[in-house]
Amino acid sequence: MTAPAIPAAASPRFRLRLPASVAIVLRILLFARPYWRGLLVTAISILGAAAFAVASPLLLRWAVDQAIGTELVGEQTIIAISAWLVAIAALALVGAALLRGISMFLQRYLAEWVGQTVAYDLRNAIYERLQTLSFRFHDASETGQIMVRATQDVEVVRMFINFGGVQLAFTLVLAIATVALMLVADWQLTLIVFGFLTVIAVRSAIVARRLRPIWNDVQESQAQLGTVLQEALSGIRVVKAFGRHEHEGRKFGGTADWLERRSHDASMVQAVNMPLMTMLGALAIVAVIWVGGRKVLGGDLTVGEVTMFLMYLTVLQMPIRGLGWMVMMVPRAATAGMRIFEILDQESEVNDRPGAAAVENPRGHLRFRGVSFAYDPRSPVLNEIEIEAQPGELIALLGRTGSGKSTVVNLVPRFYDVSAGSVEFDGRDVRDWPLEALRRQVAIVQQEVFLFAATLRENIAYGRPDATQEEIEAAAMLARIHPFISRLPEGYDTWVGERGANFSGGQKQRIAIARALLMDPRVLIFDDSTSSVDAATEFEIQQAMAALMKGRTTFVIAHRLRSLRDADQILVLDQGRIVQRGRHHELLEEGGLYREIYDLELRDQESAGASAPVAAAGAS
Amino acid sequence: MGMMGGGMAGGWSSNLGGGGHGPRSSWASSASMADGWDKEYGSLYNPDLIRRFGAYIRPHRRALLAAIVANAIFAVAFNVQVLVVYRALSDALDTGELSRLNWIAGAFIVIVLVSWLAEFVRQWLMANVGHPILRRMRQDVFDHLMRLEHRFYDRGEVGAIMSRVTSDVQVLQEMLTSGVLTVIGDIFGLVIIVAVMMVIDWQLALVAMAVLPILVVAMAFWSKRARKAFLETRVAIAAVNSTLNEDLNGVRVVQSLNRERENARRFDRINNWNLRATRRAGLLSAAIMPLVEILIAAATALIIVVAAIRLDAGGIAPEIGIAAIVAFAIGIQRFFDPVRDLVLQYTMFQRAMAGAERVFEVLDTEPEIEDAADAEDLPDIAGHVHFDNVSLEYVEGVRVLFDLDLEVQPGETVALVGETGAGKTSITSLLTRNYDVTEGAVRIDDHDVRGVSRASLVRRVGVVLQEPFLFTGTVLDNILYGDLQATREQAEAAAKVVGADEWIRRLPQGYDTPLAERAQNLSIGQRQLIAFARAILSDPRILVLDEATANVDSHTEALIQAAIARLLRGRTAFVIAHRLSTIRSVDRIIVLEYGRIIEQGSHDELLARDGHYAELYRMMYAEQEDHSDFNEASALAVLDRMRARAQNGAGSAVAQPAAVGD
Repeated sequence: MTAPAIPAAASPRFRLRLPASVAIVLRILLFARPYWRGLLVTAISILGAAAFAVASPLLLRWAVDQAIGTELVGEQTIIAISAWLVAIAALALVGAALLRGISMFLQRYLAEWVGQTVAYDLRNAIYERLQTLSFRFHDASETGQIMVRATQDVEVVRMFINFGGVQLAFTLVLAIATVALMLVADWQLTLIVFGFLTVIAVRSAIVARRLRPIWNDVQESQAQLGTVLQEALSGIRVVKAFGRHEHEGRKFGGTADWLERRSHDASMVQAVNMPLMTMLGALAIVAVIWVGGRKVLGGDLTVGEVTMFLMYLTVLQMPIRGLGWMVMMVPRAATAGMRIFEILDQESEVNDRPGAAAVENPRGHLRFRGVSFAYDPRSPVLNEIEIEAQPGELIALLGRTGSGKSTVVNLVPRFYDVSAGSVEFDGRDVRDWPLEALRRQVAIVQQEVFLFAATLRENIAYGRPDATQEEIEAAAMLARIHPFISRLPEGYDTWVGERGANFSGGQKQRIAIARALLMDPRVLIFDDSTSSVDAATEFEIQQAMAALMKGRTTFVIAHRLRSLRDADQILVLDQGRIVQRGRHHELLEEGGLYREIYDLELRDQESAGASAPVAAAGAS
Repeated sequence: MGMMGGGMAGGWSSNLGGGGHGPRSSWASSASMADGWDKEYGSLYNPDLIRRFGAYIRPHRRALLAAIVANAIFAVAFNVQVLVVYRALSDALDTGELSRLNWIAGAFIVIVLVSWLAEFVRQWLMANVGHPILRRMRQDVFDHLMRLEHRFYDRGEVGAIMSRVTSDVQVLQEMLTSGVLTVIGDIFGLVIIVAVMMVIDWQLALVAMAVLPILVVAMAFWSKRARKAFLETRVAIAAVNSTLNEDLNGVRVVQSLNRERENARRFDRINNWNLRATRRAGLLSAAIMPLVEILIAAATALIIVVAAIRLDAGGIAPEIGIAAIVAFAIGIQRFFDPVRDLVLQYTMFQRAMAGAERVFEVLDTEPEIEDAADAEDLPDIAGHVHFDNVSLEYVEGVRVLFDLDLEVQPGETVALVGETGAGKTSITSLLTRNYDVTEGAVRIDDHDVRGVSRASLVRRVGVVLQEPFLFTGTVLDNILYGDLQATREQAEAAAKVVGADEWIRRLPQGYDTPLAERAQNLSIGQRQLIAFARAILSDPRILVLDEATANVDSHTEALIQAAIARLLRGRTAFVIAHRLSTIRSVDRIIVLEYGRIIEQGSHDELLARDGHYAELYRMMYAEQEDHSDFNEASALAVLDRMRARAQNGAGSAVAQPAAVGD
């Protein structure tokens, strides 16, 4: 069994050891392997772009030196111009620029292409993994943490492939080529240019390093500002009820101050740094002109060669400035990659066994044999549970919060696997059923209803996207939600906002019930799922249920007297054990925990029913 | 309703009893992704907006002016470098004197230092101007939002409102911290570099500028397509992330309904949309730089050719010609850079203007309910409440309360009962002036609520909402929310009163236990108890209690019932009740229908009368005939047919996953 991971502790500033980093970076690159053709063309275009970038200054030099040659004839400097050569030089210059432009375009576009495609693959892989991991994983991990991995970390990996990989390679190739060419021309001047570029590179790396924590803070404070804002807006009615807008304003102000301070810090670092970089570049030009000028006058260099040096200086400056960022990207990518692979490497412990097969025409017989369950071996949640439910029976589970009621029902559709014992469905261990076939027969309505941002129709048909309108309406009628829906202006096409914000708790639960009914399962489970429905509606639902439950095995976790009175078996749970079982009147006489709960909260409902003037007999 | 909790139409538009806002209100954007992208861009010049900005900029006008001066100095110094290079070369070639070279190098260094200083001062000043302005703007929007009343929040969605404070202000940041001065700098730079080129050689300068129209047209064409493409990538990635987030939160439902494969297919579709959008955007962004560079190269080539022709014809001195070529090779970059930049900034400015428009739109929304000019603080009151022939319309002409007359004595507890839309919430929201009456008056101890300050009003009138909203922070912070001046001891005492002290102390860090977002680490019952303690601490004379419907375990239920009893004791109370025990214990039950009081009296009196209340009561707790309008037999028949069809295909359908699993 895999450890349920995604610890909250792995912060973005977490640092990896070098060998581990290399391994992870290599694994990231493996994701790019299917696109090796793209990468190959990228590599060629890197070389091309570098070559043509190097070529233009060479051409300019040639144009200056050859086409417009200076000759010293006696006292007089004679300028000799060859119009042909000039035309050729100019054409070559444009040609080189064109080729360089094309290869630069290819290089950038393909880098982006590969980076985005890898990000796309990673997102799909993460999504599919998350959808199939068992409840155990999701219980142990924070949604926010996972989202960070699926969004920011994927983005970091993409940037790494794009900039850290492709641009870094381009910069290095370009730097090596130009330095080589400059060396051939003049080593002293090369040293000057190289010296300045090194200072720029080192300086930019230092600044990149200094800015990173500041930018982390800026992001963090922005996120925090969002939280304060969201909370103040969602809780606006409380804020108003207590007249606390100034208090909220101060809270907001505190975070806004932090954001302002750190943004300001970042701007300050930039304000010092950017002009400095520009100045270094300009000083390099001065140095080249001064030293180069002397050499020209001394006859060691031509004007064209000095021009070439000046051009190289310009060509190299920008990539070199970015070098710091590119290098920093590698450890960041390693950390992000590690966090992504942590998700991708998770194995779900709930899987189809080899040879798993469904029982044909299932009847809905359920049997718990000595079932124990523990999330953590030290604190068992269920102990030696024995249940036998005949097809069509109504089983009610009762117990205090934390007694294990929900866990019992979650074992049937294998949201978790038992730690010991077995759950049998129609005589076959649920672990020997194919997961999909099993879950098609078992529908569960959870206590906290989750609706999706889609139309009502799509939400009800969530488990069966192919359901017809007639079927959807039938399910909605049985769940007592159809009349409400048909009164809405847009009916079944009404948009359900995020998490069904525009519906009441009772409406949401009935939608969820319709959703479960449409699955037409053999086994129905209501996990305290009528808790937000008022008693009248609950009664309506249960009436419908009574007809519907025929031929279905039903588990109900509820605190309503009516469910308990109708149940074929009531199981009373306490600390993971079944402490009492039987029918309502038997258990009442027996006393114990059942009686205790009855006295505390159920009796009230009894008297209400008794004092009502029109108390009809049991409906079903 | 009250008792009808989430009845047939409950919750849909009932939260505030307000008018008919659809699920897609004007600000909502969740459903349609393709609509209104161009709202991202506003018109470039909007005098009204500029004037509004002026108010924010005025305190910083000196710094801004200094920054503009620094900007001008930088533009001059930076571009004069080209002139110096030119002079250096032509002089050196002409005279061959080393001393001149030294002199020129020295001058160059001075210029470099000046431009460095100017640029540093400019950036430094802008950082000091831009961020405080943004800070103030954020705070202004937030404070303003806090002042707006319920009516405003009925319309908009939290997400849409949020983006005004976050992303819309963010767009302005770009403009304020760098954009404005970059544009000014670019224009300065452009003027000066053109001047410098003209000084060196006006003919060559004109040649260089010949390429300009092509660049501008190409850039304009490009930026129009690019902004669409980039906007699409933003919308697409937002869709990817929200799908991921939603399906992750709903993963338990997804698995229980076997939706994994279908969902993976749908996610892939959205993910793929994002991929295509980013590739398209990537194509455009990769294209622009090479395009500009090709144009620069073309211009350089043109200059060489023209210079060569003129040299050949003897039009200019050779050494000057060569120096000019070199100077232009450097200068042309400095000529094209600002042009390119200006085209890019154009788009940014449009976005910023649209953002500003939305920000000011919020600031321009005036609260409809404000303290009267002569508003007095509500003094200590006994708690007598009189709804004096009150009528209320949320939307003009649509009346929700009709001539309601209700007098409640100090210390009396009344329960409001009726179906959704009967007007229960409307009555209570008038008490704290969330809305103002259309006719009549609400008086507390003979003070019209419209005549007193709201701050003093909410101190006397407490509200406990149905869903207890807690803030992040500790348990203690949340209780103290009721009275910020209260001590820790007072907060603990309040918790004791509602019976929460015991379990709060058992929490990992007791009263200092931090609450997760929306207090997910507490049960619903515990959240309610904290909300009660908060209300106790604020100690209002008049209390509005909207009872929660959620079921809790029996122990907590007992605690809550006891807490409610203590909460109501000695106060004038309006209860929108759901619990039978609460309804039975109140002094008077007010039964409402369509905004009118139709019955009132105690529980027993009303039952004996066997009227509307008795009927409601039976619906709630007694069994009775089904009254909803549907045909159960036909619904069951449909499901039967569905089952038959499923079983016909059952053999193959069931075998399929097994085969996949192998």
